[in-house]
Amino acid sequence: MFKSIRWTFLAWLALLLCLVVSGYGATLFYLLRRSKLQEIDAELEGAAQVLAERLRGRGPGRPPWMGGPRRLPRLPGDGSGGDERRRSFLDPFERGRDSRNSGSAGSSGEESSAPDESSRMRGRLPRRGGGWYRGAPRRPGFDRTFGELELPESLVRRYGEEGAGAPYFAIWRGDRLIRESNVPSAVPPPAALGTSEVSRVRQREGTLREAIVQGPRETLIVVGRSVHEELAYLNRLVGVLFGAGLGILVLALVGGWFLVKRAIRPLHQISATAESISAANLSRRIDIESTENELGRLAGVLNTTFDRLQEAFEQQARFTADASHELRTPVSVILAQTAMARRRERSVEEYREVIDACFVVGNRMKALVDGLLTLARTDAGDLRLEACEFDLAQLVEDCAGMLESLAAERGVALRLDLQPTTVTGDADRVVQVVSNLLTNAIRYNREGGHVRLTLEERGADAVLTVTDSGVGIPEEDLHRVFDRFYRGDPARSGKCGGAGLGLAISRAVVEAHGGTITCESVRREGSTFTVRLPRNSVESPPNLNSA
Amino acid sequence: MRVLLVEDEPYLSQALRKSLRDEGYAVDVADDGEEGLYKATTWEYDAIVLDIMLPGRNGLSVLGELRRSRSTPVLLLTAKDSLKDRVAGLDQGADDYLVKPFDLEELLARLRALIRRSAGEPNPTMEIGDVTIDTASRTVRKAGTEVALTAREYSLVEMLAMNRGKVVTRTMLYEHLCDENDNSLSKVVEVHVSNVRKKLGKEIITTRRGHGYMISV
Repeated sequence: MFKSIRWTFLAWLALLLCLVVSGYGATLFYLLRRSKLQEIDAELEGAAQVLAERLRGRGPGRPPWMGGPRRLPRLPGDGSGGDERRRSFLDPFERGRDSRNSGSAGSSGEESSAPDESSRMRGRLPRRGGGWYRGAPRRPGFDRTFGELELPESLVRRYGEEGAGAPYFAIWRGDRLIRESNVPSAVPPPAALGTSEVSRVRQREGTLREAIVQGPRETLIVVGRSVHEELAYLNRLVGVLFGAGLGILVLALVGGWFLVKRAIRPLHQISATAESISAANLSRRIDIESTENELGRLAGVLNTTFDRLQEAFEQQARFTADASHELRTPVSVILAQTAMARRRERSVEEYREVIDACFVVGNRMKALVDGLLTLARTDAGDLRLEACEFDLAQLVEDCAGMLESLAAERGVALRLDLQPTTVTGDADRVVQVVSNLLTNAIRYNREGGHVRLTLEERGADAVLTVTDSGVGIPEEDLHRVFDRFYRGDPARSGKCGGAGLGLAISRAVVEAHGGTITCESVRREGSTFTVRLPRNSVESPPNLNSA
Repeated sequence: MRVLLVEDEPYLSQALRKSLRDEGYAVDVADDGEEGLYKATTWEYDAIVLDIMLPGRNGLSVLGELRRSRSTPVLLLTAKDSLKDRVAGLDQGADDYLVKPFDLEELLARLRALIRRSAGEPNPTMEIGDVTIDTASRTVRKAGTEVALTAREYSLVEMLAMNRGKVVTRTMLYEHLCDENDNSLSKVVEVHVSNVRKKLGKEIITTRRGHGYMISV
């Protein structure tokens, strides 16, 4: 079952579709993911750059070392206590990550564990698990800037201030953490950026994506956030794409199944019909609905083949029937004669007659069997001919000599007009042909009639004609004249002629030499048989062996 | 009994003719259709053995023509063996169909059957008084003992027995007991009748003066 076209086709289709759909899906996913991550990274980098700019004094809140009025960023819950806040900055030259409550001089000294805006503003950062990160710069001014450093509002607004996806930043100098804000876990120090690198992105702990940017004064600014939501989304996307792909695959296969089924339905029809056609039932043919497509053409070709097969079979059957029919008469003779002889005591003379009869008839059967065998060999393409050079004129003359008595008996005159012609072929077989033609010409002739034989060279051929003044052949039978068992008079049994194989054999022999034999006839006036033999037939036919 | 054989193959015709003559039949022969038709319509035969593939006129055509005027039993003896051919032959008016090559004994038996049937004496054995005639073996028994009869004598007895109760004229006897090659001798019939009476008893054959002979029922 699995060897059928349908299954093979569907298997290949499935494979192809799998490749195509998964290729497409993978590409899509890859592009989406890349685009998404790029987006995230750009955002983070942007935020980091903003921070860097702010540090450099280009953002709101100029760094104190540039002097000038300080403008504090407007911060939520802004109110009093700004001065105190100013003082709580990370000292860039001091170690960070100090959980000591130092540097919060002037601050309220609150140690509330609940993260709230005021502690943020002071630079105290909520630490996971409660508590605070301490880190307030000691130095006013620069410290203040650090302390005031916030992520861009847009970023914060989009992702929330707190919680898992909230953005955070950290600023490093060398291996010293100067400032942290909102970090969910300890940020490892980033490696320094290369000379050509403007920024770098790294991903930590699976979901934390961080952009690293060069800040002023050899600081490295890290801005990051947890991208677990986006990653989760991408994962879901994989699932969706996979499911969709599978769905498409299934749909396509189902569709393909039906299409193929329809397309090869005619094949089943052809198969079924062809199977039912056997030697006993050769007349069935395949129904062709349309002959335009390939299957229609196939059916047409098959039908033609069956026609030819049927023809061949019928020919064979006819031949066998004719052959056995021909043998019936001689066999009946032998049986009748011998049965009669056996019934009672007979005289020697009577026995002799019986034996003579059997002998004559037996020879007739031999001739018939030989003829049939020759024809069978011709059919099988197995006719072996010996090749030798001989003078065809001489051969014809000899033939005529042998049949002179028969001619005289019938009162038929033989006239010869022969040019010496050398021919290469099988002399014994050619004798058969000439003898057959001449015998027919004599037998189917009239009293006082004549037979004329001419032989001449025409180009590369030797042309022999045998013309008789006999009864002729009816026009409707002319095309059958060389058929097996065709006889001028259907009742003529083997007694005075052959079995009707003579001309069939003659044609077979002539054609095996690469020649042609034709017949023209006018009823009641006579017939002319023309034989063209290539003089050098060694070149042409495949079954001549050199003697 | 007189039989016409229409067959063109000379060796076969010869063998059949001889065999039939050995069986006591008077045999006429024809080797083409026209001749066969002519003879069949000119003389009375007890049976005709007819080949189909004949030169001149085809055997079936001869049969068709014959049946317009004669009811002679015809046995077709032919090489045409197909079912179609057999049916066609029988439907044309033949009484039997035998395919070549055939068994000689079968031919003779079928011929006997045809003649019995057409004479209205279906029993192969006929009993007349204490005389028993076995047509199959061509023997005659009187009171259980076999009586030696010559071929002619037997033929005569058989013919009269086949037509028992009917007067058989001398002409008819000549016609049926001699073939065309026999020279008819007027004495022949009386001599044979007399010989038969000697062997089987006077009462077996009745003479109808001026008409012919008869075996009574």
